[in-house]
Amino acid sequence: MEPRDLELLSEYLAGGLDAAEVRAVEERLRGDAAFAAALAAQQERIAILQAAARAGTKSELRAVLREADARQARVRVLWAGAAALAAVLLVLLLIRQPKPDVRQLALAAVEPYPIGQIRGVADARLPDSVAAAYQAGRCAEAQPALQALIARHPEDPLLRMYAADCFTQTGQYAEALRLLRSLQQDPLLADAAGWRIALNEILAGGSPRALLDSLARSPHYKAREAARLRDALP
Amino acid sequence: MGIRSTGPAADPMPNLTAQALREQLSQGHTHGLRQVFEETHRYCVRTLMHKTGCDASDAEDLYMDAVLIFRENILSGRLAQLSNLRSYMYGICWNLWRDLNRSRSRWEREQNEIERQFWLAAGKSETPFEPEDADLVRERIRRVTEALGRLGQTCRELLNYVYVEQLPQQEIAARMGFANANVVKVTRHRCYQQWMKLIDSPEIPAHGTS
Repeated sequence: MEPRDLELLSEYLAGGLDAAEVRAVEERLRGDAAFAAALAAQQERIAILQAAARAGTKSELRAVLREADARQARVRVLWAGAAALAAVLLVLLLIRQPKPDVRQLALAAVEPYPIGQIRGVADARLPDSVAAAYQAGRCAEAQPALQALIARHPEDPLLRMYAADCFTQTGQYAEALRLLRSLQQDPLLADAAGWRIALNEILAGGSPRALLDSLARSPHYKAREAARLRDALP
Repeated sequence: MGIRSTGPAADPMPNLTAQALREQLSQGHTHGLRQVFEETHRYCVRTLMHKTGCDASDAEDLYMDAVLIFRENILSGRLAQLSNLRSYMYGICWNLWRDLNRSRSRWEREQNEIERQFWLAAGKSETPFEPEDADLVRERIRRVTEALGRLGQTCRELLNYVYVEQLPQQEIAARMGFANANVVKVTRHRCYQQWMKLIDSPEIPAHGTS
C-alpha cells in the first residue's frame, strides 16, 4: 500500500478527516477493491488492538474485583459463623435448663412418717400429745418423748421411724441415718427407710447415686422422685 | 488510565449515580465498580449457570466480560441511569453468552483472552471472516499483538487513546504532555506506520518458525 493511502486510512479510522474527505474516501472505497481490502485489513488490526486493550482491562478488573469477592466471601463466612454461633447458643439456652439444687429437692421431699392411727395400725404406745406434736412438725417437743418411748420399747420400729424423721427435720442427719439403717430389715418399713436414708445422705452432703438408682429402677413408691433426685446429683 | 484498586472498601453508597461512577472510572478509581460487583456478581453467575447450563468458570468469565461492557457504557455515557442493575448486568451476560456461542460455532474455542475479545466483537456484528479462516485470523491476531508488544510505551498508549478510547486530540495532548493536537496527529501517524511495518516485517516470525 502506498504510504499516502496508509496515512489516509489511519486518519479515516481515527475519525480525523473532515466531511468532504470522508465522502472522498467512501467514494473511492466503492470503486477501488484493493483500497477497500486495505481498509478491511486496517479495520481488523484496529479490532485486534481494541481486543488486546479489552483483554488487559479485563485482567486488571478481574484482579481488583477478586479482592472485592474475597472480602465478600470473608463477610459471608463471618455472618455464617455468627449465625451458627447464635443458633448454637439459642439451642443451648433452650435445651440446657439449670440443674435443680439436689439439697433443696431433698428438703422439699422430707415429710413425717404417717403415725399409726392414720395408717390404721394400732399404735397405742404413742400418746396423743406426742403424736400431735410430731405430726405438726414440732420435733423439739416430740423428740424427748419419743426417745423415752424408744428406751422403754426398743423393739418398736414405728417409734424409731418417728424419731428418725424428727432427727431429719432438726438437721441431725447422722442420728437419723443410724435409726433408719436399723429399719432396713423391717418388711413393713424397709421401703420408707430406704427412701429416707437417701434423703438424709443428700442432706448430710453425700451422693447416694447407687441407692437412688436402685430405688428409681424398682417399683418403689418413690421411684419417680428418686430418679429426679439422682438426675439432679452433681 | 489504568485501573487502581482505591477508594473505600466497604462503605455503602446507596445513592451511586451513573455520573458519579463515570467520574470515578475516568479517574481510574474502582470503588463504585466494586459496589456494582457486590450487587450483581453472585446473581449473574448463578443465573447464568442455571439458565444456560454453563460451568462456573465460563459464567465467571462471561460476568467479567459484562463488567467490561458495563464500564465502557458508563464511560461513554451510553448508560445514564443505574436502576435495576442486576437485570441490566444479567442482560449483558446473556447477550455475551449468545455472542460467544455464535463465535465458537464459527471458529473454535478461543486460545487466549485477546482472541476471546476479538471473537466476541466479531460475533456481535456480521463478520467478514469465514469459518475456514479461523487459523489465518488467529495467526493475524498473534502478529498484530506481538507487533503491539514491540512498540514503545508512548506509541502503545497513544494508539489506545486514539483507536480504543477514541479521545479527542486535545485531551490526548493534555494527558500525554504534548504541545498541541498537531503533535498528537504527527506522532500518532508515526506510531501507526511503525506498528504496520512491524506487523508485516520478518522480525515477527510466522507461527511455528520461531
